[in-house]
Formats: sequence, structure tokens, C-alpha cells
Amino acid sequence: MSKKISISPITRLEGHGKIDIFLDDDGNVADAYLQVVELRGFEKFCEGRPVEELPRITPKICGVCPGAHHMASAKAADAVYGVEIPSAARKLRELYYNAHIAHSHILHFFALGAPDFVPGPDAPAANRNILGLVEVVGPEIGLAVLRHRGFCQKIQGMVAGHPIHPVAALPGGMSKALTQAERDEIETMGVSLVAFAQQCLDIFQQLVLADPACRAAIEGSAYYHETYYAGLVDPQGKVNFYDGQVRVVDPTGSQLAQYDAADYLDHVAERVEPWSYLKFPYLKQVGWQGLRDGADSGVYRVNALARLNVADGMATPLAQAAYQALYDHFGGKPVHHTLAFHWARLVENLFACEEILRLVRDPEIVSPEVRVLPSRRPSEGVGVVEAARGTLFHHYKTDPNGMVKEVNLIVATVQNNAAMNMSVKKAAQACIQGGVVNDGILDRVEMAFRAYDPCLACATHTLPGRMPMVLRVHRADGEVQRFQRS
Amino acid sequence: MDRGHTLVLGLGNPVLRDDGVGLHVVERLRLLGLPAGVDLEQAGTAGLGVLELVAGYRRLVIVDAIDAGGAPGSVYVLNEAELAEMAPVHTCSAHEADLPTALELGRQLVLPLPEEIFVVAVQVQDTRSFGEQCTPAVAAAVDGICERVLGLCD
Repeated sequence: MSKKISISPITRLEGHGKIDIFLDDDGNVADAYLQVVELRGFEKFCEGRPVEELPRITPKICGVCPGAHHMASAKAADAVYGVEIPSAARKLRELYYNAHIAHSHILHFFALGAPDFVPGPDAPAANRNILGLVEVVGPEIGLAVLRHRGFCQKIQGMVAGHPIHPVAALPGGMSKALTQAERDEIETMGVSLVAFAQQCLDIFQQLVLADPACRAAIEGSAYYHETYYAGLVDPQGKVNFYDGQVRVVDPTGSQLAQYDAADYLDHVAERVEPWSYLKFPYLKQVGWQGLRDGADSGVYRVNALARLNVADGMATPLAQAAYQALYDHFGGKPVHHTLAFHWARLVENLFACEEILRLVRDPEIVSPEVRVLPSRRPSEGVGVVEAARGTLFHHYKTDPNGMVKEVNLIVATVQNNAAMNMSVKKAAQACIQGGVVNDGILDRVEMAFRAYDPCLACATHTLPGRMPMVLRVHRADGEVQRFQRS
Repeated sequence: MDRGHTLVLGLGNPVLRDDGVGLHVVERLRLLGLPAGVDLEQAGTAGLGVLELVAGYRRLVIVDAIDAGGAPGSVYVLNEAELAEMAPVHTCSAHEADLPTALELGRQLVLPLPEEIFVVAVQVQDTRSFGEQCTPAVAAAVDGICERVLGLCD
């Protein structure tokens, strides 16, 4: 008889992330949960301030994706004032934002994602990181990663005033224009970034897809969920990080909805579960059926693969070819394989780098016309962007003087909360059998949530430098094995 | 501007009370004035990006928050070997490479990394509330921490 599992309310959380895996009498996985701490109070911290301060303050929630908050916040503040920003300001923001996305995607792939494939889950933990990867791919790739990560950081600093504490975007546009000398330097970096982004896809082909074990993991059933997907599309239905409408597709790829950011509350509801500090957003139209996939469950996914799944394609030629190659490989759209998020991220990285080059070569990018002064009475506004990790909403309400009365943020990682829990459980069920648990098996379980590039910093409204993932295996006889994961 | 011989790098989140103590120390040092050859920088966490910041310096002094169970405002000066064990808050990011990994990568890639690395780690009281000021005990320690940092810069 399998042991009845009861989950007590959490009284003490260790670190910022925790996975609990419950085994039955036969040592197979009965259930698994991913939990993270949520710090409350950031919204309150923002209230009472002038709304134009929020694009500078909200990026500080998180050391990982300040750029996404800077953009979502500036767009929400534009909307609060009902102001249309100048064309050159929009191009500068897009230039900045594509550099932010490329920076994030390059880091995720090489520092976190790729080591799960090379050297892989059975390598010693100390080697399962960028060091182990560079041992295989060679130091010149390691140096290229650092150089291009640095380029993206530099572009962000040039456009937004500071590489990690952006300040330039404000309601009505940007506070500074780009100089000709800066433009020239960014163009040189952009050329190199596009070439490197292509090389990243080659590395993925050669090291990951060409390896039978990696390919089997990507294409297998352990990391697979048929869900809804959501992401921004531009007016042509192509992927866009900075702006557009939110499109939602069902597990067959048919469009369920396409809506303006301001209407997000009509489409997304949040489920509260007693065992989790994080909420579970779901599609209102479909409804909450628990942590399940399928067309009758309102669970949806965001982030790179979701963006590709909802879109009709990529707006740049090289990325479009890479997009096509991904869908040709899997034989159609949408792709439900969770580990394919890594591949989708590299397709998007190429798109972001091509966009950097396209934007910096636009003559208008050095226009001094980068701001209009907001003149309407401020009230309420919603700003949306695609953060590297998925759709990010900022929603502000102010008094007639522009002082913030109410703030609501819906961050990407929270929207993937349900899917990440499902993915962790499914991977655990596939990998843990007969009670056998070892380091390589646990890494395979962690691969399920790493594919989503979760930024718990953002989801929990804090900046955890130290964010140990604690993993506990609860056996049917009550024994608990605790694993500290780094 | 020419690069100095020593970099003081403050780490932390500026809106999470004591979490940002490293940034507060750097701001105070900027006001106090610095010996020739000492530069200041700030960052959120110390991952791969830190390699770019520190390459070319002979000495690196990181100022970061730590929760090691001591009295708030207590200071621990760690060398590189002690870093992995003590794990100051922003030197081990789960989001990308942690500081020891980043430094090891930098050495493998033969980057000109500092020969001397110290981490001045400050015991925190509150890193879970939003606020731009440190708690009183940690704020009171900032001047003393600046002296310790300057002592390492000689």
C-alpha cells in the first residue's frame, strides 16, 4: 500500500527554491513540487512615488533582467500619460532591448543550459558548468562568449546610461540621443554579434543535436507537455520583444486569443495554492483544472519556445531560416518539447542580434528627437514586453499629479510556475525508478525547470545572489534525503 | 582615465536594505576620497561580467553582504580560497556562473586577473524588506568597513 502523502504548510523555507519529490512504496515518484519564496511588498515600495521614477526603480527588483523592467515600466508610464513616443525613441528602446535579450540568452545558454548537454548530467557536479563546457568547445569559444556578452552590456550602457542600472527611458521617450561615434561602435559590435549568434546555433547542432543521448532527451517524452502558449507578436504576426499584442495558441497551434496588453485582466487569472507562495496564472477562457496539460487545462507557457510557437515567423532573414529549421526538425508546430526552449532561445538570440544591426543602421537612430513632454493628465496604464523569460506586465494607477497609487506586476517566471511544476514532476517520474536517486538523476530532474530559464529573483521580487536549490526526496517510510544543489 | 592598480567592487541590491551594503560602502568611499590607483565599481552580482570589470587590476577588493550568523555589521575579510566556503550573498548566483567559477574560467582563458583578491563580507540583519537604507546596526558599521577596505588597498 502506498503511503498517503500530506504536505504541511511550509513554516521555513531554505534558500529560494525547493523541490520536494515524494516516492511511493515501490520507490517510484508519486508527486513532486517546485516551490520558491516570494517576498511581498515591492508594489507597496513603489506606491507614493512619482510614476516617472518607476522606470529607474523597478529594474532594481532584479539583477538578472533589469532591462525588461526598465522597458515595461517606461511603456506603462507612457500609457499612464497617454503619450506617443517619437519614432527615434522607440528605435533606441528597441536597440537597447534587443541587446538585453541577446545578453540574457547568451549567458543562459553557455552558463546554465548547455552544460546539461555538454558535459552532461552524468559529469561530476563540479564540472557541469561553463568550465566543463569550455573544456569541450575550447577556449576560443569561451573568450567569444565573454566578448559578446560584454558587447551586449556595452550597448545597453550606451543607450540607457548605465549597463546594469538603466535610467534613460522615461515617459515620453528617452532622455538622451545616440551619438554618431556610439552608433559606429555599436554597428561594429552588431556585425560580430550576428556572426557569433550563427555560431551558437552551429554549436547547438554539432554538440547537442548530433549527440544521440542529447537528442533523445530533447525529443523524448520525459520533457514534454502539450499546453497553451502565449507571447507578443508584431502587426505581421512575427516575434517581437518590445511591443505588440499578446497572442495565445492552443496545444494544436490554433489561435485562442490575441489582445492588447491593457486587457490582460480579461484573459489571465491567478490561482492560489496553499502549498506555494507563488501564484499560478492561467487562461481565464479555459479555466483552472489543476497542474495538468491538455486543451481543457488553462495552463499556458511563456518564454522563447512559446514565442516561436505563437508567432508566424521571425522578422529577420537569418532568424527566419533558423526558425524554419527548428520546426522542420520536429515536423511541425507547435513544438511541445520542453528542452527545445534552449534551441528556441538561440533562434531568438540570432533575431535579437540581427535587430541590433538593422536598428543601428537606420539613419533615424541618431536623431535628436527622442522625447515628447507628456501633457495629458496621468491616470492608468499597462506596459508589456517580452522579457527574456516571457511576457512581463507592469500596470500602474496614479493620482492626477502622477503619484503612484497602485502597482501590479505579472512577471514571466510566475506565468511558467504551473508548467515548471508539471515538468519537474514528469521528469522525476521518468528518471527516478525503484527508489534509486543519484546526482545524475537529480540533474535530469533539474533540467526540467532550467529549460524555462526561471528567474526566481524576479518572481520573488528579490535579488538572491545565493540561491541554493534544495532538493528533498521523501520516501514512503518517512525517510527524507536532502540534497543541497548549487 | 588610466586604470588603477586596485579595484573596489561593491555588490548588492540597492533597494533591499542590508543586501545593498556593498553599494553603500562604495558610495561612502567615493565621498571620502581614495588613494591614487584605487578605482570604484558597483554591480548586482559577481558572475561572468565581473571578469571584464576586474581584468587588468593587480588587486580586487569585493564588498558584499553575508549571512554567517554573526552580529549585524560584523565584518569578515575573506581570501579567494575562503570564498567558496563562506559564500557571501552575491558571489554565488544560481542564475549564471558564480564568482569562483567565473574566476577559474578567467584563468583558463588566460585573462589578466588580479593576483590578490579579498572579499570584505558584512553580516546583514535584514535583506528581505524593501528599503534604500541599511538597518541601523549595519549602517553604523559602514565607516569602519571603509577603513578596513582602505587598509586592504595599501
